Amino acid sequence: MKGSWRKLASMVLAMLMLTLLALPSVGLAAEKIEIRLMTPWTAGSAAYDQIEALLASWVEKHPNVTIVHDALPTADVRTKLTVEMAAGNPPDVSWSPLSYAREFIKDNKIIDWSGVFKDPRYPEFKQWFSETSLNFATTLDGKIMLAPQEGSIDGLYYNKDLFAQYGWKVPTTFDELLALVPQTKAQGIATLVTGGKDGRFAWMASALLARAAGLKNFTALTLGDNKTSWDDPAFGFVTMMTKFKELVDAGAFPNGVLGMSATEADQLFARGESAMYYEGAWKPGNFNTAGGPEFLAKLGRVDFPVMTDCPDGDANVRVGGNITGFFVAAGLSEEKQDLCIQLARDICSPEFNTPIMEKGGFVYAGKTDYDASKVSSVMNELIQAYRTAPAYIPSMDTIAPPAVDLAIKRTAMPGLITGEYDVNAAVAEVQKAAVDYVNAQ
Amino acid sequence: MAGRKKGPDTMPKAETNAQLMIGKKRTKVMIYISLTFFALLVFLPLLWLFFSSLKSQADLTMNTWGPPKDWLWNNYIKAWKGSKIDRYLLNSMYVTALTIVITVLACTPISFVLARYRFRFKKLLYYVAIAGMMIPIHSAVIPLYMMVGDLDKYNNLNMLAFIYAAFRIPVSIFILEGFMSSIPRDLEECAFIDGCSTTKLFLKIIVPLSRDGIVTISVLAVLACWNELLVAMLILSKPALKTLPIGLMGFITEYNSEYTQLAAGIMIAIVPSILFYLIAQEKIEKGMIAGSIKG
Repeated sequence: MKGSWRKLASMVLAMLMLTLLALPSVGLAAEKIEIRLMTPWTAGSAAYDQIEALLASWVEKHPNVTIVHDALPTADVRTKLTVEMAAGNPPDVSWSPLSYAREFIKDNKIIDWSGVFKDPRYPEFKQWFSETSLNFATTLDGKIMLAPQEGSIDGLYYNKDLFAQYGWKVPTTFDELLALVPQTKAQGIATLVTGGKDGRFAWMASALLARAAGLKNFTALTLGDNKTSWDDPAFGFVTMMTKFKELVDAGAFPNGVLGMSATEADQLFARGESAMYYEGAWKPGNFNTAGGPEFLAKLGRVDFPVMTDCPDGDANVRVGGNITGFFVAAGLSEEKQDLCIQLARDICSPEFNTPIMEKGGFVYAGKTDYDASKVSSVMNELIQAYRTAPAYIPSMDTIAPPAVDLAIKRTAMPGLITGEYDVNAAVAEVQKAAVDYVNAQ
Repeated sequence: MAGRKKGPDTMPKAETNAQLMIGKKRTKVMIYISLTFFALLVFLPLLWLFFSSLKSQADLTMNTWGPPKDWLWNNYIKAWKGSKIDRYLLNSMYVTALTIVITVLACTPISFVLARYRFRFKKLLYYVAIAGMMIPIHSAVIPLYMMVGDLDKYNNLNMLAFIYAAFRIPVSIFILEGFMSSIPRDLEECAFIDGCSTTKLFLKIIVPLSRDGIVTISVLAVLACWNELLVAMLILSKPALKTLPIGLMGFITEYNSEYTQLAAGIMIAIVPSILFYLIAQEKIEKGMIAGSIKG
């Protein structure tokens, strides 16, 4: 009996010792500075090779620094950022959408870039970016949350071949868009597609709201003093949802659009089963993947149609601007913070971003000369649209509080498509999310 | 006359036998048809995945369901090299194996005590142990993340395995306690009469007789760990320590989605599961069936 217990005890002890021996020795290299960088540039991304090369050269230049590059798809970056911020352990440097950074700076969890942009040690930011770009992420109390990196612009992409083949007119007004729907449907082609499953209606929500209600109302609802006025017709959100319902009722979207990932929507568009696609400036890379360069050559870009019957609506604003950027965590040692700022600076540099833009990855927010011949015609149109935009409004997922954005793109708009909600019920869902958000602040 | 007379009993009996034969054949045909249907249900998605893994992106768009126009075996090399799948695969195997070890080591003695002993508050202890089944891992991510931080165990595969095991323990106790309770008490009494100690009873009688239950909890642990993404994504930041689901998700980004390489990666990723099933097929099936009767 005694022997058996001894045997059992020694077995357990041996296992414990083995387990302890197997534990990796975290923190042995204490003298080194470890920077944790989080980006959405995973192995499948157009920026992957570029960031890997930058980090390799960085570590070579700074032998005492190790960089842990935590690359995750954008949706996972958002999840991880939320958890890490809640737990008080943010990454040292990270890509972030505006709406997330806005929550983080409230609690002083990320640094205010305004001091950095004025710092003579970092003159490059002022050389690379316009004042508008540098100040894109300014809070109401004057703090700058993010360093600019990616510029974005919306596009109502259309298949030029299909439009020429069937003699359709590219819509410039919302009425023309509605009139186009039966024409495309007659040919068995959907009018407009976007990745509903991936929450891509966020872009369309911004475009519709800007055209229906105008910049002033848009800003008042998302950032200003009227965050709980979504159900007030004076602010235009009700009109916006009514317009969206008109599109749905006309049958503009293909069957199953809500279950369609962005990639599936790309494939549908590339097969010529949809005449148009509405989203951001990174799409040419996706379209190239889905249909190759021949398909990309068929594409054109126009602004989202104007609503002629909405006097408050803004006809010229484009969805986009600087909607994402890089933050540096607050509370780091002075040496580490400087290194993090330098790393973020290099990631925001024209040298880093221009090759990605030339690959069709995204539009760079800064000033740069790029080789237009390397870029597809639709990408050139996007870059021009970004550079000539009279005003920008961010996509809903980067400007509205996350809960409100989710209520719009995941509940209200899908509810109108499935018929679960009428306009009033859809607006009520958004209003409820906004009130809950404000009450929780 | 009587001899020529067809026996009133024999003729219907012959007919019954023939009918039975036809009935049996029909049943067999029906069984085969339904089995073929279910086999196709399982096989066709795998075949589609295999075809997709060998296509170009444009081929996948234009020819979604058919076989590839050009068989691009290179996708496998790109998936293997480009995204460090070999490393992710090893990490996933390590975490899964350790989770099984911890779960089995923790659950077997607890289940033994709960199943074979009578003591005060036993029921309460049992319900406390299995109450964890009600807590989904997703609802505990923030406290878990903070706890791991307090222990300074981010980027630690052993820590991840301990977390997985912690969430496997309640359901494993629930299953194993059922198995152990069903072992006849006579065996235990005979063993004690023959001078068997409690330790020996546990190690030499109860554990071997609960083998099917242990296999069941191991299989369930494999299924849970192999595909888990959220906790692994939160705890692990270093590329060299990431597990397979995180690695595979890397093929899908907002800017570009390499679906064909993702398909190749998934094909590689399912090989260990298939091997595991082939090796442990008999035990898994036995464990599942036994569990359904005893549990």
